[in-house]
Amino acid sequence: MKFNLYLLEFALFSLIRKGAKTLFVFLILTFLIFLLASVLFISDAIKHELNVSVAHLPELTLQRLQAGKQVNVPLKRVEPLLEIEGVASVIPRVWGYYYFKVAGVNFSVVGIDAFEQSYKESLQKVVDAYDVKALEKESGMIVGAGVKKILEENYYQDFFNFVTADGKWKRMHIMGSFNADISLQANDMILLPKKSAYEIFGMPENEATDVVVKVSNPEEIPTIVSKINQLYPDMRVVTKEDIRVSYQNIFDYKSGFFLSLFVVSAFTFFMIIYDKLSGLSSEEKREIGILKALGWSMDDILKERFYESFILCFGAFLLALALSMAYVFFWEAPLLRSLFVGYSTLKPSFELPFYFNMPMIVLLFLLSVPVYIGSVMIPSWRAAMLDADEVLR
Amino acid sequence: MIVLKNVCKCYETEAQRIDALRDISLHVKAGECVILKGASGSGKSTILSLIAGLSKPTTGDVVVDGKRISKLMEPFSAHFRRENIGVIFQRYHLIATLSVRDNIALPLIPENLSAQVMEKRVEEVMELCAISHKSSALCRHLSGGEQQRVAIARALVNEPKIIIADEPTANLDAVLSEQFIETMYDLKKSGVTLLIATHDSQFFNLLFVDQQIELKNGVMLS
Repeated sequence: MKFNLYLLEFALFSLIRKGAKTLFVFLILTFLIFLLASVLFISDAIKHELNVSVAHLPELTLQRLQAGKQVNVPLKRVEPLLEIEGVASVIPRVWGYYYFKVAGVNFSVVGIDAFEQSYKESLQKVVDAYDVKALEKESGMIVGAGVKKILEENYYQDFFNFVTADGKWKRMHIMGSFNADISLQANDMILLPKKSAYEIFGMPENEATDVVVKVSNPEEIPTIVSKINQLYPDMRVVTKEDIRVSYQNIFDYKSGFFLSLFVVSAFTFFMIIYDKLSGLSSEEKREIGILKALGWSMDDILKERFYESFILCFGAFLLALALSMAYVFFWEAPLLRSLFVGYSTLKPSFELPFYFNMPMIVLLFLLSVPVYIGSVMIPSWRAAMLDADEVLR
Repeated sequence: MIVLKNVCKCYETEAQRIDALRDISLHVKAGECVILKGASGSGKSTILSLIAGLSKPTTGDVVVDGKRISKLMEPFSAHFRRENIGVIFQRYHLIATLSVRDNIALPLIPENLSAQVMEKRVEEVMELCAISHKSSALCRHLSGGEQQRVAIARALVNEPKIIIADEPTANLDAVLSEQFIETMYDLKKSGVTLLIATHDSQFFNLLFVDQQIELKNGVMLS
């Protein structure tokens, strides 16, 4: 059967002639779908980011506790840890937070060593790309993209003056910057020689902040953990799984805000649908009656109504999707993002990584477009079922 | 051409049952002009509605051009109406937000004709009904007489064999009513069957009228 272009044309023109009503429905639909899509994009991007972060974490992180507080780990504990069967490597880490008062943000300062394997692949890439020996020689540092931006905004183009623990200034030159794979974590990071990190934090050089342990066979983790506990009862062993659960908890807590936003927009959407399902206006019924009286079959009328609702709703869906992508990934989701990344005021901002979750988009499509089309088609079908005479009377 | 056999039509509500037509039988030959007269509520519009296939009789048969229209399923009755019947409503039932041209073209849309044929037919009927000069005007901006001419043009655009008009002059002055009668006369000359429901006495003494049927409370008096 030949496609009836006139029906499509009539549907398009029908939307135009309904002017304000069409515009109102279009804007409401666009806004609601935009809100839902933005929530999904942000939460998916962060979830993806956290998953990637966790995947790159070492199997075990060892912290020393004293009176319930974390204290430094003496480096002499490294050798006995290496002797435990199944342990592949032990890396003492020197790291901490440095509060940059002028900008009101915290930087993560990490000490690196030319002869030491890094505990993260992404950091290893950065270490490989720069000459760490030269960093030591020239008091240099490599900074994350977020750090670089903040320093530049606050006068420091080529160097930065750290205030050390004993109140002296330590000038470090910016030798380069990096965009690590995991922007959420690496964005606020400063990599500098371990010696400089010790100096800035005022730590003795025979201690480390914590120790990272790599294990050859993940199946052996429980055994290794119990051996470490026996060897050093004052050390807390944090497994990758523990960190994953704690990240997930933070994410779930934050998701609560989004869930409420999601529920409110979904509720509004379904209210509109309910209102549409409850019936057509007398004008719409009359129009259906006229068309029937002029020889339009029920099939013609329903086709026309389908085109009309599809154009309106699918148009709103596409626009909302494009707007939400631009809002989240181009404009970095102002307002909504701060809800999710609650500590953004204390950390340099990071870019939301582009992560397109196709099944979620399909779900959003199925929850919006067919539902709206149904809400138009059902009352139209009911009206078209009646005798034209009855509708026009 | 048109046969009604023992037709009854009743409307039922929760509160009451209204017998709009009681045992109506009539026969209209092709090319005839029939006037249905009677007071409001006598059943004139109901007969027209049954003949046009806009509603179905409660009992009895309606046969139009050999087809039992009262038994036709929805898509077939719509198709039959589109091909054979043009309807002029009392209140014209134009779509106010559409232009004259678009209102007239409405019955042709499901036909899916070529753009040229469609355009030609619309132009012809607009010319015939002297409404070409208003082709782009929205119907809500037209006067009563102009709206009626659009309604006539719309009824003619699918070249129907039967024209049904329900109280066509109820909202018109004497001059416009006469113009309408002239149009009907021209249509009759061209072989179109006319069924006009009216209580306007101007129609009762017309020479081209073949039958006058009087109704009262759903019953045929003559």
